[in-house]
Amino acid sequence: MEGQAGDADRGDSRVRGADALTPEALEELRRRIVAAVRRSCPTRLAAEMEDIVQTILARLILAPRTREGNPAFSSMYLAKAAYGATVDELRRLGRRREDSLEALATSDSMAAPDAGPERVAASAEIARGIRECLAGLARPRRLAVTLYIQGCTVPEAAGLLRWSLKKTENLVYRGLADLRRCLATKGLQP
Amino acid sequence: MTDKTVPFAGTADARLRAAFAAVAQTAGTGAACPPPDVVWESAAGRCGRRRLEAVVLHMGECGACAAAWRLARELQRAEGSGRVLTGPPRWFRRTWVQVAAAAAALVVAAGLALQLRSVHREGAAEFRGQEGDWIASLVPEAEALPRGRCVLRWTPGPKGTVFDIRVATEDLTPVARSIGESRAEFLVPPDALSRVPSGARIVWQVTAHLPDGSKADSRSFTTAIR
Repeated sequence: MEGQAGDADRGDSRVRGADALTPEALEELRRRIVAAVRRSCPTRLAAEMEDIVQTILARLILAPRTREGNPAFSSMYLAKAAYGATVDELRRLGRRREDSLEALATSDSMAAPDAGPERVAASAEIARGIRECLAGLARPRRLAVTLYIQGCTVPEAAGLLRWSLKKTENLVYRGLADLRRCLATKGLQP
Repeated sequence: MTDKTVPFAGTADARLRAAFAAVAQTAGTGAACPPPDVVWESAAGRCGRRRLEAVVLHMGECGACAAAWRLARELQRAEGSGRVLTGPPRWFRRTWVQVAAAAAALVVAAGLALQLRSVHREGAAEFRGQEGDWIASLVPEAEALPRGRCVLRWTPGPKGTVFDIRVATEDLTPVARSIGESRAEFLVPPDALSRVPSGARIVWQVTAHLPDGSKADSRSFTTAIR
């Protein structure tokens, strides 16, 4: 994840020194965290970005090395912390807002952030249907189709699953057909 | 080959993908969600096949983890200027190449193990900040540990190092966890292994808190249970 660190970070990738808890050092650490979070945080979490930054900052300040006056955090470390905290936030929001259509419209809808409540409700129903139908697929088809609808191309899915292209193509093809049939029985047509 | 060789309806697929991504609900309480670093590694194609499959199956049920996985792919694309790791290349999928690579890896691993032992004996190990690749499993790969006395051992760090350890099944169901171990070993409670079938492998990972305050995560190790 080194590459998530920007050019600005590469020149001076560590903040060191016993005076690291001075307001200036704290501000520098904060600036680097903000840069890392900006890189890893999806736009739909923009409202939570400040919380994510504060969470990481608090973790780093409480880290033993900071308490001992040696807050040396590499850019890679900060990038990992930013991704981890972003994922934690995604999960937290996913738990908190699972039944809130309003929240889905404002935060959890990736496909259509400006969609109205009806469209969001329809999206939520289709997403639920897809998950239920996926669970009913044979395991190899389920793996192939999940990667495919996650945005992988067939060659990418084949590479990840260590399968041949032909096998993957077949499984995606048949799996998608199964999935659509299953959605149709539920009256859903994405 | 591109997706065009697959007779899918392009627009319909795009709608399917968008609908799947539309809701990022967390499955249950989130307790079954894999750690973010595992999600990252699986998106990069850098974890074992079983682990990858466990993550993919979980994504099918958990919208939040599916979103985290897509985010990892996006970041990895940005990092690699549009090139995302997709597991081994085509030529590597040939069996004889895999066997040859495995043999070469064994030779390298044996060399590394010898080197690690030598470094440990001399007490001059270099511990590289946040990198945890100096932490090696001291449980022989081929050995199955008895469930009544499943002692996991790893490379000790410098004096004063404290370890956290997480143990899970291969499908990432948590088995045991311990924080603040002062010794580089951990006895997995036999009760915790009651649901691990004989012959199955457990996956374990160590986090070392070094005396200088830095932290190092090991890679994941697997050990068979009998």
